[in-house]
Amino acid sequence: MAEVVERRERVTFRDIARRALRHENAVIGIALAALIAVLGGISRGATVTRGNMANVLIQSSVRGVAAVGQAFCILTANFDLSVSGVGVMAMMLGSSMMTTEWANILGYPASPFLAIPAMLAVGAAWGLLSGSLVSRFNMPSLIVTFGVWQIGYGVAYYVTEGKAIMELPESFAVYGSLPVGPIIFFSVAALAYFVLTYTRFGRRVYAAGGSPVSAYLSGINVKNTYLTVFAISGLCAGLAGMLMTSRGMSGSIEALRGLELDSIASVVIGGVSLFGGRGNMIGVVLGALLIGVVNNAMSVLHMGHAGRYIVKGAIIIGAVAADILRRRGR
Amino acid sequence: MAEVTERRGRGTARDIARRVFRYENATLGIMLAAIIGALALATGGKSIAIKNMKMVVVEGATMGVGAIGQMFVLLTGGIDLSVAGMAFGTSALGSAMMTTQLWQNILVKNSILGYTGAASIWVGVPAMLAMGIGLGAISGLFVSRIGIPPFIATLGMWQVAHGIGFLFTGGFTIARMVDPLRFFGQMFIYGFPVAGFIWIVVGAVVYFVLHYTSYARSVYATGSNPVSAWLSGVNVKNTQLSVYMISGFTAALGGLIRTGRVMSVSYSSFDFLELQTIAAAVIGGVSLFGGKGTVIGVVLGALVISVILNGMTILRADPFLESLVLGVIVIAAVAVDYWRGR
Repeated sequence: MAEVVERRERVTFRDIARRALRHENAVIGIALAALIAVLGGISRGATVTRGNMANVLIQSSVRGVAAVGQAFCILTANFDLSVSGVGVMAMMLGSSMMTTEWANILGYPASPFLAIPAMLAVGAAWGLLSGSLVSRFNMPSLIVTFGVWQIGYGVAYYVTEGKAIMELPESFAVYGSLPVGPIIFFSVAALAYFVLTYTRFGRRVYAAGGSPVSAYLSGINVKNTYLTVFAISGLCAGLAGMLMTSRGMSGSIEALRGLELDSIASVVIGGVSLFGGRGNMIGVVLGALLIGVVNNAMSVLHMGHAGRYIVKGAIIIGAVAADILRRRGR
Repeated sequence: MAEVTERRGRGTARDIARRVFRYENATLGIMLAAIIGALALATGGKSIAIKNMKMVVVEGATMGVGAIGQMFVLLTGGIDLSVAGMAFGTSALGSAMMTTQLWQNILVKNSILGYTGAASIWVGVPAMLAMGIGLGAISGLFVSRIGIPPFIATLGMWQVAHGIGFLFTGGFTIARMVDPLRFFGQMFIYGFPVAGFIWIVVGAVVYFVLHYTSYARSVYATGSNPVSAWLSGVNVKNTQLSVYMISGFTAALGGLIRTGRVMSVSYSSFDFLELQTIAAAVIGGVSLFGGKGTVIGVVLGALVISVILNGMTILRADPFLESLVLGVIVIAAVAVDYWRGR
């Protein structure tokens, strides 16, 4: 007993550090801080100015929202490659509703309060489509969402004939800009954290991802869980499309290119296992911020396309390799 | 006995038809014929003009050759999403070596090996193919030795190969390649395109490999069940490594054909190639779950897609409709794959 008391008294800074390090998100947090410091040094402070940090936050909120949805999918060992296709469809629908493009069935420009729910609904509906194909027909999510991605871009092209849609109402600009955009991102992430940690649905997601068979045997409706995670991912993709539209104040086919890759990278860097059932939302947020910092630094440092592609590819492969090697070491 | 003889005697058209139908690629062949017929009607015969048919073969060869490599990867239960990136990366290397526009020629610019002019195809083409095999080996190593899911390893490799392509082209379109490069995409032998011959040769070699070698056994075994394959003495890791090298090689060969046809390379030359190769393989009856598929099916599958894309071009369909149609085809093919397996 005396010993225990003594031990407790000897809680030093080192112990705290050790406990913090053992926490699963510590490595990524430290990596993020180190990266910001190093990139700040390389760019001679250009990346750590207040204006640029604000930029990173705004850019990260689009990616981060998509990553939150993607994380639900990956936690169940599924993938959603359709993120950018679904997002761009929502973007084109919303922006043509708010202007007087022909796709607008109202005949007059809709207010953002009508367009935003429509964008989210489109996202969720397309998520439901992939979700039902995956859960009811047992089709591999990779291929289904790859196909849905194509269809999404096809529809977006068809609606707009490939042209950008400009001249959105001024009042729409607020959603993607500084205070609101990141606030939306962080609240979505907080909500997702709450759902995954404290609700029955969250338990089901982890269980279905850890082992679908034993989840099924213990009475979990695995199919409906799959369906729901894809709907969530679609909803988040629609939200990401909305944020991007507001940020650029235009709807453009190219605006979301590569979002699925970025969102998967954020999730993977955030420590979510690609094999399902392992990971948490805080890691995903940190992962999205890390990708945001890297992307932003590459453009501040005027890195060419070649470097950008290679760095991104290396980050993705490296993060997954680290995940696998870490688990093998245990 | 008498009955058997009699049965054999009744080898009527109906029996033959029934036997043909039971053959797995028959449905596909009939589908292809039906699509060709329908498109011929829709285009008023334009789509079946000899000149256009040659075009379909040349256009389809890039995808068709790539799909054969993709088939190997799918047979082991993997997937190769890097095909488009690989084709661009290798074509960028080849074109940057073989262009006569010297300010773009990497050999001249960096005075490698004392080059003062464009490299010949005897240097450029092997370099392209070697690069394809090498990059394929890297994704293969990641998949087989570290255990990274194939989809992530090849998605990352797509990015890396695409980036390397940008490195070689500097983001520009490279044109004015040495003339002999035309051989691969624009030349005809006895009226049949060289690209088509390449496709047939690759298909025939793979057909032989898949039917008469022990390597085929290990590929199919790895795909059906890696654990039992390993237990029965198959070197699963090396098998996985080899299929990604094959896929890298065929992607480079596909890139070579398209480069030879267009005689220029830009970063968007190979957009959606990975999707097209997967679609061709899946339509051709290759299972996405590994262990099932034939090369004849894959060739027919690539022809189906090529014919459809060509028909849409002739009909002046919205080019953006192409991606929509491709997406639907892929999902439908996977659905059929699932129902067939059930």
